Amino acid sequence: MIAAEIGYERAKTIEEALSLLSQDVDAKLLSGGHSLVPLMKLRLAQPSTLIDVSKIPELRTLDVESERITIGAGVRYFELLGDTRLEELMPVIAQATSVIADPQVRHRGTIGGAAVHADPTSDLAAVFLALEARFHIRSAAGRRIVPIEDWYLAPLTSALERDEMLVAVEFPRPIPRRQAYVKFSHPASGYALAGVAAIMDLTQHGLVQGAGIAVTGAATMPFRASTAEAWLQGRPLNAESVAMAAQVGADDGTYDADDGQYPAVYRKNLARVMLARALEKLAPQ
Amino acid sequence: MSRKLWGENVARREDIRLVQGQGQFTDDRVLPGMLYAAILRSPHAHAKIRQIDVASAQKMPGVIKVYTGSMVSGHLGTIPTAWIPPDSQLKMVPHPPLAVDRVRYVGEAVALVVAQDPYQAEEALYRILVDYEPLPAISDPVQALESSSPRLHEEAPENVALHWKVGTDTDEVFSGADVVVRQTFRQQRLIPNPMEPRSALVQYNSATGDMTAWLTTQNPHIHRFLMSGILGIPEHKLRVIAQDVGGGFGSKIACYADEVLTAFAARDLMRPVKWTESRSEHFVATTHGRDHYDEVELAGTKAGRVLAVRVKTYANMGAYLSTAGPGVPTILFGLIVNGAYDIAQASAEVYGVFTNTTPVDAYRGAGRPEATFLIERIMDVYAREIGMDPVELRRINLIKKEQFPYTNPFGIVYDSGDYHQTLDLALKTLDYASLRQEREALRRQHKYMGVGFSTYVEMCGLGPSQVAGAVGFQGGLWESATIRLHPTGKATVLTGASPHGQGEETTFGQIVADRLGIPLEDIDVVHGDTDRVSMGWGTYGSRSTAVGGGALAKAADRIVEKAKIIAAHMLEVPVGAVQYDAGQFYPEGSRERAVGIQDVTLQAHLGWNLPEGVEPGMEVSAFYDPTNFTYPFGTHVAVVSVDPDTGEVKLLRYLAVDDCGPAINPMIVEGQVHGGVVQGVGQALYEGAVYDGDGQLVSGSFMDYAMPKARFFPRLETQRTETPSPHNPLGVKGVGETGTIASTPAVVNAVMDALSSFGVVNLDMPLTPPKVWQAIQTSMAKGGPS
Amino acid sequence: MNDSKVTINLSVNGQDTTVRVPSRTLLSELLRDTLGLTGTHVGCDTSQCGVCTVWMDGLAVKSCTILAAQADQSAVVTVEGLARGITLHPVQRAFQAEHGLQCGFCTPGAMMLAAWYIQHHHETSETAIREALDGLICRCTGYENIVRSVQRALAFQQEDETPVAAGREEEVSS
Repeated sequence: MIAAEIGYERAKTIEEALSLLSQDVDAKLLSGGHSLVPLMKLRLAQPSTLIDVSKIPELRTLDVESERITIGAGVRYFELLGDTRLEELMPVIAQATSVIADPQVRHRGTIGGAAVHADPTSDLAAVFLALEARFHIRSAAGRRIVPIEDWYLAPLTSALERDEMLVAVEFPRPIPRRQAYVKFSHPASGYALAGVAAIMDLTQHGLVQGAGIAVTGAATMPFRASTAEAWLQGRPLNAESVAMAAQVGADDGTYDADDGQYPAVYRKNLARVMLARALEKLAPQ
Repeated sequence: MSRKLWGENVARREDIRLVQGQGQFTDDRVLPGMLYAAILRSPHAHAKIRQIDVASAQKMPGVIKVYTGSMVSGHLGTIPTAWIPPDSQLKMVPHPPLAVDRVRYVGEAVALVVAQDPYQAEEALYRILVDYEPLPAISDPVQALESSSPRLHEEAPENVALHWKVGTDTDEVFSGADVVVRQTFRQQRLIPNPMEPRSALVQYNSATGDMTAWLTTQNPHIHRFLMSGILGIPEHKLRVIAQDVGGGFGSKIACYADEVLTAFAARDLMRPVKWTESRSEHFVATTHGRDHYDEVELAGTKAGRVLAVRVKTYANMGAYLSTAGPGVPTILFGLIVNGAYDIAQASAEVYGVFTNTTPVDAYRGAGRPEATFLIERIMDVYAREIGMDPVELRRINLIKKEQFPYTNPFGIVYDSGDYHQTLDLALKTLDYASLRQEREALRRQHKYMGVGFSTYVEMCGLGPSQVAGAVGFQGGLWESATIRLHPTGKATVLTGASPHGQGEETTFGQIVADRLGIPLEDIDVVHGDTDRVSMGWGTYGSRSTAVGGGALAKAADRIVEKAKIIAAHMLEVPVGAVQYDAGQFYPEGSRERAVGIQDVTLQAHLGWNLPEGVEPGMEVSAFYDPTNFTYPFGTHVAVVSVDPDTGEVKLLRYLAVDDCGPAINPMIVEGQVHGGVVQGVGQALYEGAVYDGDGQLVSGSFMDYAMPKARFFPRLETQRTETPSPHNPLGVKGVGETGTIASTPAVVNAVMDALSSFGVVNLDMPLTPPKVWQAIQTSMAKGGPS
Repeated sequence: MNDSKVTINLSVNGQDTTVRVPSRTLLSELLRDTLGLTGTHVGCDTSQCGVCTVWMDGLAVKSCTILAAQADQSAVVTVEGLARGITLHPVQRAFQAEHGLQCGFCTPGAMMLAAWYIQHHHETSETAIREALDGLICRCTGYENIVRSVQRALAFQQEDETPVAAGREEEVSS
């Protein structure tokens, strides 16, 4: 299991990385490398050159502003866990990140890597969807921002073009206060068989307002449980409403026919169960 | 005799190097001028090889030579099997080290590349062009017997590798019995996965003809014996070294094509060659374990007395017969299917079947876990059928203390035991009555908890050589030990056992320290080197302490015997008047005049003044051949919860009560139990090799094949009772496999107990969430829990 | 620009080193093959088992999933660098005291993970330790004694007058 021969360049700035990227159609950006390096060993990825962007300072920033929270693409998982501002404003990202793989992987993997790799079982995918993340992209030609609904194109395919670079992930504020991420992991890979991120506010009468609910892992693609969100709007959060929302929320996904060990019917059930468990966590105690 | 270290939790001697990263595993070793080998493996489960074109690979940078089957076939023997069970009609099909014109499983070696560095060797693999003509493949052992299934070997026209029957005639009992229960079980294929992948490094001196092979092996002398034959190298010219070996679990017993090819290339190129498998290779190229379909029947009374048990098994052998492969589903399985129970009649019939899969061989427990699983599971099925508590059923049928030595229906003699004692201790430790109350209370809240038992016995300490011969094992199963005392009284101990994690450098040191009164730090235990240790049969089958330790005790006694004669001479008293205790020789009643073994040893080496007829030096060897196997036993209990919404099984508690005889080092014994239990639970809940219809291994990496992880487990509880085995000088029984043997059925029984109100009697392992959930769904569709 | 070799400056176990290796070289390969530090083992090729765990800038990482080039300007600590002279690290002492190893193959990775854990976490509960050990596959011990080893290492660390782990932090973060 040896990767094919590669070139290696270390970029000091975003501009340098983009320039290198525009010169070589087979080059790939490397940050934590925890998705890319295993693929290279299996020769499922054979880039000509790796452009290491892990030491570009701009990619490692974390800005909290009144309108938004912007997280540099190179911010590592463990850094998301330790930030007190995030803990206060969007604890769901810490909850989701704390169950990604294992400590060693969390020391290397980055939020940008998770977004770009577009693995349909990624824990953060549910967070991106529920919180309506916006992806800040740069290329030699300029900048653009891709909203979440345009981000995931297919399993392992995001909207990022070959010569583009994800520089940051933005989460618009305000973010509802009640947040939860729950997960049922694959016993071998640790990936989500079903992971649910849910956020909402409750009015003073206990009625749901502005729910964002998303499911990763279970379906062919991570999805937003829009029907559940709409159905819950203005309703109290109790056993019956949770059960109903979980039911209709699971229906929002499209499930593959079969993957042998974890059949579609089972994964859909898991989506429903995890939806219910996430919503239960948000209900008033 | 004072026994200072016996029974003490002495910290392991091997840890001193291992915690500092100073171990020497095969792949750690580098030799000057060393080349690297890589093996091209078949991507097809079954195919004809039309042509292999190595021209472009041969031209790759750094490539020294590319070998194919036709190039080596005239120079190398085939890979043999070393176990030929009598009356099994075993089909000894040829197994060439490199496939010549046909491949029979994914992972079979097709070509070997040797290059200057490992990158170059692997790059060249991508340039070898093999023209395959794919053939239909079969991976399921029952389907393989159907007449329409593809055939693997001309020598085995029905794909039957062996057909073996043992036991008594049970027909009459079954036809007259009040209760007969039947159940089919699937014991899925497992992948051993020791954390160290296999590796071979071979150096050849063309001038002297000496070859040294560093191998990841559990039995270096068996490897030497087999490789010498395959390679045509005289045994005295071949040295096999297994220094630090990173776990084996049976998978490092077999002699593989890989080390044979590495040795062949080293000799051919007259350069050291190293080959190390990747984990991905391990999944397809290293032997697998288990893989049975079993049909089990039990006849009994309504009052819970078992009258007979009958087993019919289809065992998957894989595409070829591995070294010990044929012995596993026969001798090591069939002879003990009655388990720990006093059952008058029992029989087993086994079909070993060739399929287009990786060869199957020993895997921790080897045959005995399979047997134990069947009897422990069918006991629970029977208990449910007659409405009896499984504990009560076991109590009625367990062999009683006064029945030992107990001859089972297959004629093997269980050495000693108090089976009921381990059961009682388990019940007391757990407070079984309140567990059952808790279970009922939870059930009323639609929460599902289950308690499962396994009161097992195993046959280990392999074994009496006479029996080995009688059951077709092509070797002895005795063990050797040499104790060499140096002039300063320090000791080198040589053992034919070949530990690879079991800690015998420490326990064997404890035995010698106690018997000879030499401090532990003055004793080095040497193993795993055929040039230093004259002969040995290795470490497997929970044999090392029972058999190797027996040899060691014998050698130590001989040292004392000789030293006593010299001491008598030094003390100027008759030999008969010399007392010995913990390294001190003294005239009866005059301890103050004692001479130490170190002084005696010095005198023995100086030789200035030895008694007449006594040779100088202080070194003895002993060979110990046990008179019987040993039979550890115990009671394991699993407590689980089942989440009906997800089907997830959670292990809430696990208690192991084992009796492996006296424990020389209880800490090490407990560690063996922990590891074994977790491995056995792995089979029950997580692990399983899955082949698709084309014979491709779907679960070919740690991404798909679920290894047990720390967070899946609660704290493991262990207890012990001690019933010495009368068959060996130390009374020890062996503990390496008990955990694996006992835990699988305990956990499955617990899950079935939890699912009992859903009417679920049996599910195939591993009991994954989807399977459990589906079973609950099916029950709900029929009206839900009772 | 497709230069297949790369120059790397890094510190390994406190020693500054400059090496030039093929770009595809993994950190695990750099340690084992180039620098001869064979205490770090490799147990899989899919980044699951954690046997190859080392510290990079004070963090436990899987050296089989990091290119050597990515370790440029980093401080790497391997099992060979855990002890201070002849004084073993609390984790090394604890693994021996609690029989936290059998075959010893995963042990270097297990200890590097454990050493990171005790430096950053003081949670002695089974659950917390078992969660942290998710980055390790051990086939021998059933994890039970590894958990106990981590608990013991936390105790050893506390007993030590000058915590060894704290001293190491300065060293590796320089």
